[in-house]
Amino acid sequence: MKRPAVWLLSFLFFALSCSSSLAQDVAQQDVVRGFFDAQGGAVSSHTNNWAVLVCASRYWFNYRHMANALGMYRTVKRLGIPDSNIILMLADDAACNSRNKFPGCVYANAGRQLDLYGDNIEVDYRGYEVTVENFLRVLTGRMDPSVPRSKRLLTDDKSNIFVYMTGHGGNEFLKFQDNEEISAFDIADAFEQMWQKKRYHEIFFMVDTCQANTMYTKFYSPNILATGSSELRENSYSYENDNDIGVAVIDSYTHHILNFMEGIDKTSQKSIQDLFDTYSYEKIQSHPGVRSDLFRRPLRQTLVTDFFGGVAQAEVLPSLPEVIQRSSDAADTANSVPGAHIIPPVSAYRANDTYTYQATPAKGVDVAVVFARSATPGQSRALITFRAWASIVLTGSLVTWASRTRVK
Amino acid sequence: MTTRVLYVLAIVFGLHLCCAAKTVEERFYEQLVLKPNHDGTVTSSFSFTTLIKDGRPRDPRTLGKEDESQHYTLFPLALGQILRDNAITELHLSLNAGKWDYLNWGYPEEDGVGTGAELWAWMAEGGPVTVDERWGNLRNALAGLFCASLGSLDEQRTTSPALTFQPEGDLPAFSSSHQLRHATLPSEHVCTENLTPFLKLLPCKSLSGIASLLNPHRLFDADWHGMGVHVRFLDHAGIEVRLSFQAVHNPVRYASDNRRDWSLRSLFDHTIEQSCPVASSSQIRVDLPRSTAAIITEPEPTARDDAVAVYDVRQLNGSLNVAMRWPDETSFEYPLGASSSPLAHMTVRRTLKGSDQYKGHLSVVITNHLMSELQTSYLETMPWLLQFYLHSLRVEHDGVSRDDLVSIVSYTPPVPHARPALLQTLLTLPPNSTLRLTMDVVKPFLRYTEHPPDAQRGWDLPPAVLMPLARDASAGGRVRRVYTPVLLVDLATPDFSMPYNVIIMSCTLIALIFGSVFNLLTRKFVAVSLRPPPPAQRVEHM
Amino acid sequence: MDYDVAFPGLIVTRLLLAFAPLPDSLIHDHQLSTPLTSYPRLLEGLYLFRHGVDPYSGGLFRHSPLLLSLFSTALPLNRFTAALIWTASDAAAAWALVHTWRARQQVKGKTSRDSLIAAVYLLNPYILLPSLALSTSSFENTALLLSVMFAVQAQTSLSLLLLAIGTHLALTSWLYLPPLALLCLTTPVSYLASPRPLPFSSNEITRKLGTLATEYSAYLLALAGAATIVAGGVGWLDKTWGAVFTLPDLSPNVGLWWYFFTEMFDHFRPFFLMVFSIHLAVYPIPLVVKFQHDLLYAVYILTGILATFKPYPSIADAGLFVSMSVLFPETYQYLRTPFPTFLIHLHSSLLLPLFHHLWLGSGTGNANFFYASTLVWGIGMGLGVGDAVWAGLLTGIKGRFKNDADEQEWEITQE
Repeated sequence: MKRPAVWLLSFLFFALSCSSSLAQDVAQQDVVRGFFDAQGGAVSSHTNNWAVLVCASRYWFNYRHMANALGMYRTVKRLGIPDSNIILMLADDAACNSRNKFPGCVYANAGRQLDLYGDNIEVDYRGYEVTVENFLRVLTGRMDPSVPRSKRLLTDDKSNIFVYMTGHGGNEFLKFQDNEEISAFDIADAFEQMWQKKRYHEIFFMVDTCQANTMYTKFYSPNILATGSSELRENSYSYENDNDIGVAVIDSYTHHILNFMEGIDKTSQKSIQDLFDTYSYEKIQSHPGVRSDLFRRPLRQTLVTDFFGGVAQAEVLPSLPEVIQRSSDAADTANSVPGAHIIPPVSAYRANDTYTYQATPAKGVDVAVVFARSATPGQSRALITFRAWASIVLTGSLVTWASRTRVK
Repeated sequence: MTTRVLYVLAIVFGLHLCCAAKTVEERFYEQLVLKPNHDGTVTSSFSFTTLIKDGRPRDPRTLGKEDESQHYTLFPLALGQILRDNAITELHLSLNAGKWDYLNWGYPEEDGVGTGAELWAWMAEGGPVTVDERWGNLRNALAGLFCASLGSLDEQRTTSPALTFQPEGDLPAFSSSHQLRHATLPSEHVCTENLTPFLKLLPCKSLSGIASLLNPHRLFDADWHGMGVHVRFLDHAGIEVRLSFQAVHNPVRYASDNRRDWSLRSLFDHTIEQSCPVASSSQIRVDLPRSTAAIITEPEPTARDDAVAVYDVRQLNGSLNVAMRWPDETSFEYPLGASSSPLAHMTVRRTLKGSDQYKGHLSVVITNHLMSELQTSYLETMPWLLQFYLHSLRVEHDGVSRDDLVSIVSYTPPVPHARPALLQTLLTLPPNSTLRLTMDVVKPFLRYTEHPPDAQRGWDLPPAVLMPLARDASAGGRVRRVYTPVLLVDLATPDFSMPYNVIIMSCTLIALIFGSVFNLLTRKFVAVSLRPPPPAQRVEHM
Repeated sequence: MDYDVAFPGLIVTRLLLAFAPLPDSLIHDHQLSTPLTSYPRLLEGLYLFRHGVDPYSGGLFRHSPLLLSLFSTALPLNRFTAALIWTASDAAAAWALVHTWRARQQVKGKTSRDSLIAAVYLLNPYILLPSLALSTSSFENTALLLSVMFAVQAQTSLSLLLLAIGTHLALTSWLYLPPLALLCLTTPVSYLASPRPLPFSSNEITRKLGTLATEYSAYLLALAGAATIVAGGVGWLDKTWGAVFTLPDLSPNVGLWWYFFTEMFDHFRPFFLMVFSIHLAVYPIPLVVKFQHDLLYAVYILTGILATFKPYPSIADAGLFVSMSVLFPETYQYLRTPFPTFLIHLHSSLLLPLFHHLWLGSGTGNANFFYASTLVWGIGMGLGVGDAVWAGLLTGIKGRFKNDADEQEWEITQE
């Protein structure tokens, strides 16, 4: 008796859903907007997070810049941004440098407690590839088609991007690899290109160099929040040296930021303003600055994890009716048919199923024969001599002909 | 209700079977070879092989069309996609650091031990995409996959030394022939970011099996380390991908008591806790040294004879920590003096001589350790940063000039800003003696924009590759490639701080000279009277 | 000294110097030879040619294919024959200079200055050193001087043929065509003191010049054909003549191009290469127009201009200019700055090898040192050329004065 009723109910439900799907377009957008605007517009409506971390200095004595960038890398990874969404640019190799007493490790503090390099790291641009041109191409997305995905910034208009740059810099410029520089105007124009091409939702720009605050003075695109480590005509200083590594291992400003980040996890509700409130000249030895006039949301309501973490907005929906639940169960089991990814049991392999490297002995003879045969030059000697003599005879006859005709 | 569900199930299952691609049989084998050397070091060679049975490389003529769907379970998908997108038949990539010591360590398990990055691939011609385009796509794709700067292996570093780099597998019989592309980047660094994607290509990653020993903090501290990716096609077997990692560790350096005893724990700081469930075979092979000092290997090997002890990792209970001790030795004495039985047929030393920055001499000293004459090929793929004067190639044997011992098989001269040099020669080495080759070289002058950021360091030059053509029984009948160390060439640099000054000064001088000549040729000559001017001044025009 | 004794004596001296044990580094020196004229590169090209490799497939060999054919057939090249060949070339050039002088003086036999002229050419260090370094610029100089000699002797075909050969050796020599063609049509006798316009009507001159230009082009094409035969293709065009336009090899030399284009950014290169090439090409016509009364003087000035502004100059080009000055003694009194010119030349010829060694040999100097000394060399050359132009023009003007008193009354300047 239940069967016809069940079928009727499901038929009615499908009919209703079909009719509602006709008016779905507008309704759907309203829902989405309402979801993001749930807390009165203060919550960020981004859906994905990206990070571009640039260390622009090379040479061993700039170890601290690489430690800066790696510290930020570890922080954003810990807070949820995956490697595929991080573009890490390191201008030199510090971890496997022959001067490094601790191979494969980069430390950010004098006691060498935390290895920032770790076992799992992906550096997208390294060595000579860290250039101004590549940095601007990453930001604007204008690249050769053959550049692989891991080197591209595949952002859209709902992406929050954290851009961190460290190195040596000055008044409105930053040095790349000690032989070229990027100016604040270049970065501002790149960000404007990104805005025009809808490549970001919000950008948080952090820069740790000397006179860093001058780097963000030229921005003119909306939704950019910027902070720097020192004022015009002011240097940024390193924090401490490690006596075994032999160089300074971290910069003051970045050390302060990383300290603050240690208290942040994925669920943290701390705002960006809380971070800015911790700035102090005594701790950082320079005057960090903030530029928020282009940023439309209030800083007190902007979470740190909006930029540093890979979190997204979530809303818990009420449970679905039971009927839909069961039919979806059937669909699930129908899809999990054998033939997809199942690891075969160990007993399927025979014990002596070994594999030996197949050498290619026959090739040895071939190579020797080929070499002996090709030990003669390409063109035959006879042809070469003939060509040379033909040319000289032609020239000589020209000379004799010219000397015979004595024309005035 | 249940019958309806079963109906739906059956229909879906049937559809799935029809549409599914042919099931592919894959095998995964892993092996670790540990070999103690007589100078106290231990060579470890990891090799992880995945075989797709009856797989075939893609015909490049199908590149314009959609590829047939590939289903991999053990074979790394990222690598497989790259191979099929570019229709690669054979691929070899190696990323090495350090200098391989042939005299003390013998021949390596994997031939490609040149410092830096080396990439070579055999590809068939034909189809809508040219070989060079596919080579470019391959380089960039591998650069993205392995976090290495392989994208800079452009035409200024690419050659085709087909005589030395013969295919190690079979070449499928497509309608057009195969071409080789080879490039090296000797200045490439190798670090954890190259190992991370390497491990992600393995079925068990670094969680279980032999791959759990790959600890970057120990591997990159080794005296020599290198990773390799080798893809080849075998007619009777299928497509084989072999991921290899070789390292030469120095346990004496870590030991506080100067002993050369080693164990997996002391070398890698890890032990094998669990075997990889999908491995068809997983074994550790320990080569036992032939010296008379008693050596103990523990735990008990699965199989053992005089030369080799084999451990089957799949039969392990608990954690496996293979160890080797020399109980009779109190402390290790480094063996000074020449070894009585050298481990390699010949040793090569290549140096760049001369203190000028515009010319120099290339000197190659080859010592033949065999008691019979040895023929070897000598390959130089030199970028245009060092240009050879081939007419000055001289060979000297025991102080006597013997130019007949070298014959040039082929030479492609370098084109500045475009193409490297390819020199292939055949050398005859008399028994048990040393041959000295010298050649004058020219160091070019680069443009301002061509210098790297650290221009004062110089440029790394790729290793030369020698291939002894005699087949030696102990080498397994294999033709081996011997790599020389890389060179560093110091090129003259302009002053990087003053491009505008140079332009201004040169233009000023040119303008001055041009201006004065122009004036002299075009302006009128005038005679000015020197007499005191009378009331009417006379100016006579010439 | 009697010319018949002096000339052979000078040749013997040259031969002895050529066979003397000279330092090996002389043939590699950047002041004495350029990538287009260097002896080791010539040997490399010949070696590759003999072994069946196309010497023009690489970027090392940039000599003309005619040299390739000459030295691989009729004149085999080794240390002994090289000394003989280069000495013979210099001897021919000196002989041509002497006969040019004789034709200018309209003397059939010997003159009193013959030995001086031969000595000025054969003992001039600017000519001698590149010749000892076996640079093929000696052949370029010889070809030009022989061409001038045949022009003043009114043997037009030989003159144009030798100019065509000279163009094959160094492309910039084609700029000598206007003055040389006109020299064939006029007399070499010195009219510097009494300038007069060309004794032809414009139609006549166009026709005659057209004929000569056609003959020259025909010789050039025929030689290009011979070159193509020996090179097995037209790849030599890009590597030899193309090098003059694209400057692929940035080896240092005494000229102004190399450092300029080393420091040039890539997207400005084509523009400035074009500007420099066109700049070189604007000189022949105005010189011919201004010195139409004495075209030998125009050739002389042009050698100076080319020595300063050529893409790959060496001191041999300056040597040609200095040696040719001996043909015009009537201008010496009107030179304004002969002594400073000499001093600057002396100064730079001492600085150039010193700074070259400091930069590339011992590494204690940098490129700017050598660049600065090339600028000084350029100043010296510019001063010399400017002075020569002034002196030539002034000879014409002062020649109009009838007596000394008149001459002292007037000062000649330009307005």
